[in-house]
Amino acid sequence: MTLTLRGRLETRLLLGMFIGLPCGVCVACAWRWGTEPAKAASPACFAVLVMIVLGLCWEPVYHAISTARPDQDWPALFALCAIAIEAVPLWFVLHGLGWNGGGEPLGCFLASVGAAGAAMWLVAQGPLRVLLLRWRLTGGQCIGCWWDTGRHGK
Amino acid sequence: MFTHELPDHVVCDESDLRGLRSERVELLAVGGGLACFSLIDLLRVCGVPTSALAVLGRSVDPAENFRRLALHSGIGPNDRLRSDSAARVDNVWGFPGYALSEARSRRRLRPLGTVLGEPLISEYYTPRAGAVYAGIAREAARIGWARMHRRGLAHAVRPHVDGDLVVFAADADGDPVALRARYVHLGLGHAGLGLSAPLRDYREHVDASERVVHGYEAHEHVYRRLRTRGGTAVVTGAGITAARVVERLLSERGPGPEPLRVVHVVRPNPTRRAAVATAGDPWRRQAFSFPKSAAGGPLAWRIATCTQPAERAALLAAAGAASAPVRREWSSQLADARQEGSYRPVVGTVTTTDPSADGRARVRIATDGGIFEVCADAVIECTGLHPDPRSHPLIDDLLTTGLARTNASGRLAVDESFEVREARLGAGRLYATGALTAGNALGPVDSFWGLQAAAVRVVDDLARLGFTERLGVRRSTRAWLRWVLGNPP
Repeated sequence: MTLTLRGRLETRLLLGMFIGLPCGVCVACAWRWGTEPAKAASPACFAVLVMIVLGLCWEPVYHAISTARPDQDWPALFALCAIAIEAVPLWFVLHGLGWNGGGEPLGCFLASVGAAGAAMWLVAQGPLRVLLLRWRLTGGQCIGCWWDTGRHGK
Repeated sequence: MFTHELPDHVVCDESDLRGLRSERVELLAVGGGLACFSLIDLLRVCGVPTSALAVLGRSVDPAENFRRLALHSGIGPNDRLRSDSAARVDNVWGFPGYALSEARSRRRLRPLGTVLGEPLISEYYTPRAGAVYAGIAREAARIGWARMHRRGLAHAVRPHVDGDLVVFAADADGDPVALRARYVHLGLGHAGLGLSAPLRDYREHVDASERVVHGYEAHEHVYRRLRTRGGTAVVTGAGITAARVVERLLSERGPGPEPLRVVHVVRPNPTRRAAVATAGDPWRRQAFSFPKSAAGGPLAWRIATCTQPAERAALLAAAGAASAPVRREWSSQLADARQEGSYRPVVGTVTTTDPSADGRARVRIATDGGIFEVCADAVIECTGLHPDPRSHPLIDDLLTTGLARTNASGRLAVDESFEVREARLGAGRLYATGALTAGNALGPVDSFWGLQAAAVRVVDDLARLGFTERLGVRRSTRAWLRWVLGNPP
């Protein structure tokens, strides 16, 4: 699967909001079972939202790397490794923003960000193609498709 | 054989159909191969009933032609095709891919590991041909393909005054019939085998098919003879078929009276000249027939948005140039054979082929260094299938009557929705997908992925015309669940 830059950004936003965010929050709540749900959910929610925003900044970098590859592709392993690579600067950014993970920063970070990233990766590897039939045919574009835009005079 | 006289005017009326057995459906797919299968499958997935659809083709098995060509080029049911796991021709969503299905059926995780590691840790996962055929057969049964199939051969498509399109065809008994439809789809594939002029001449005048064969023809006798007696084989071409044939020939080397040698002739271009001069390897390595990014990625976008026909043709020619897959095992076989002197690449063009004094085929190759002559026990042409759309009588008729035109690549011109715009004279619509439509807005049109991508565009256009519902999130998910459960659409 290869993505265009627009496809990357749309996919990141869509998966982040509809898959990453609920999964991250649910896993963080489950990990801190017994804590008041709002207390467990809000730091997780914040961490995943920052992850999505930072992810949008990472995508142009990934796009440049994939364009330099012979097939201009983006292997599944790259996408998986990207989760781990992104986690390091995300951790520092969250700290810089005064985030403390509800008192347990490392556990909350791993539960929310790890679960969100893994779920997003898994869904992108297959189930997303079922929900959005044209997604894999349009370089990851989620809204509209190339042949529907009317730019070719149809 | 079609015996009815075709109307001499472009738009036909009832008087032109007099005396012909006639049938009307909403959509008729002409060809009956995988291009038709991809479109009909998607229409059935969208909920179009079988009564509204018909397929006209020689064989009721949509994979028959593909299977025959693959088998002749050396790909049996247990061999792997050069195709991606997600390019699943029996599943428009591409999920689960062939790798996941293989892992499930064999109860092994290895296929999934291959997909995860490709192309960094492992080579690309490619599906077994047998699994592809089994999937097609299963899906054909699910969508009621046999009920929609009409055995016959189409000869011409003409618009009717009432807005329909009429397909003039010969049925299974050779009787002329007229099949009317509001929408007609052409999925005719390649017109035939592309045999070069010197080899065609040799076959016509000297030897029908003993020594000079095409890679897509049955040529097991060539391997048998070379295995037992040895000798020299000339292989022309630089694509996947040539790669497969060279691999097979090199694996047939044995203790014969004469060693088996392969002379591999590739057409000259600067890259090949340099590659042969430096590494002795003329092959251009690429995982699939087009770079991965031509399947929906940045390259696909560039091709789709390229407005200059000549520029697009050049872009497509460069991206889809003949290439061989990246396979370590095969590369090392080639390197060993080169060292032993069993494999010799020659950059040049076959100019003449005639019989030698000892009954073999004398092949003359024009190279940069002059004429290179080889007395061959076998010549295997692997330069592909016939690209000229005029070789199809039906396309020839369309081009002659002005109902179609060719694009800058010399193939059938279609728009972004794969519609043949010149044929739009009324409410009827003529679409074409597959190999015929190379050189348009989509790169790998005759790959599994390309057939499905084209089918989606056609179906989206049909949805705009009100023929079917557009496959949105809910409808797509419901249809996929039916596919998983094996329920009819």
